[in-house]
Amino acid sequence: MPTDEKICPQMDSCEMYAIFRNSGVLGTWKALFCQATFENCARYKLVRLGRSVAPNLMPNGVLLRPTRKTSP
Amino acid sequence: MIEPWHWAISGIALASIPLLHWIAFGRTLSVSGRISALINRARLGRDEPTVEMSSDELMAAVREATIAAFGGAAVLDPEVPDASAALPTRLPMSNHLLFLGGIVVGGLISALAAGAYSPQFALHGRTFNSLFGGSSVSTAAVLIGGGMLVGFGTRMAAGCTTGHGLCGVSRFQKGSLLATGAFFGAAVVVSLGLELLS
Repeated sequence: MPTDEKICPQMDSCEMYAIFRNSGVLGTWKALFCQATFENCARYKLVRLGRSVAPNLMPNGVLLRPTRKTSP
Repeated sequence: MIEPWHWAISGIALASIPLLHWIAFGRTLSVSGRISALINRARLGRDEPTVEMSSDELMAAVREATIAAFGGAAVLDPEVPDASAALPTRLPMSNHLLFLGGIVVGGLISALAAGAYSPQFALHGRTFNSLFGGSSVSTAAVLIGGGMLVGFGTRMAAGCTTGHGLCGVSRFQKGSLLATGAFFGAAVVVSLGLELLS
């Protein structure tokens, strides 16, 4: 059903949203960058510019890298 | 004149394509999105640089980025569903080429099967000929110009009649309802306007 909730029009095709959607702890990202203020999302801005979006780009512009592993 | 399919059969066929696409690839069908992906590949030479990561590595990196952005409390919820099952994969270029090629080949097979394959480079509408003349040059100019406008509008609306019209409208997405209304509304207005001018 249609709602008045403001959501990102790129939500369906966003690879990062697919991760946020199923994770409760990542709801902050979804609330801040997929809903009310999605215009601030780095991924959304690139799409609007017609640019390719890296799958590992976070909404705040941080490009994810493998975390450093501690020595055993 | 080819007898068109019954509207109900056409509707079921149209609905089955996005559904099968979702089942096969786990994502919404978007023809313009696939074309954009191909163009970006051609323009940039390759996709944006990415780092190959396993599901566990990606989730660890997302958690680290979450803590850096919002603090440790943001990831303290013990009821954490595993998001790794939703990890997306980027479709290879061959997938896009196969899909877009399938549209052309499928149309060709359909026309051949119906005995209606008769390629021609002309738009035989009375209105078109009256406004633009019936030459190949004017036909090409109008088709190319129209195609560019469609491409511009599609990018501006972040989707085409497939993504918005077939997939978005069926899920009552407000943006898709608006975009599809604009697509078809503009088509009706322009068509009637050209008819008046001719």
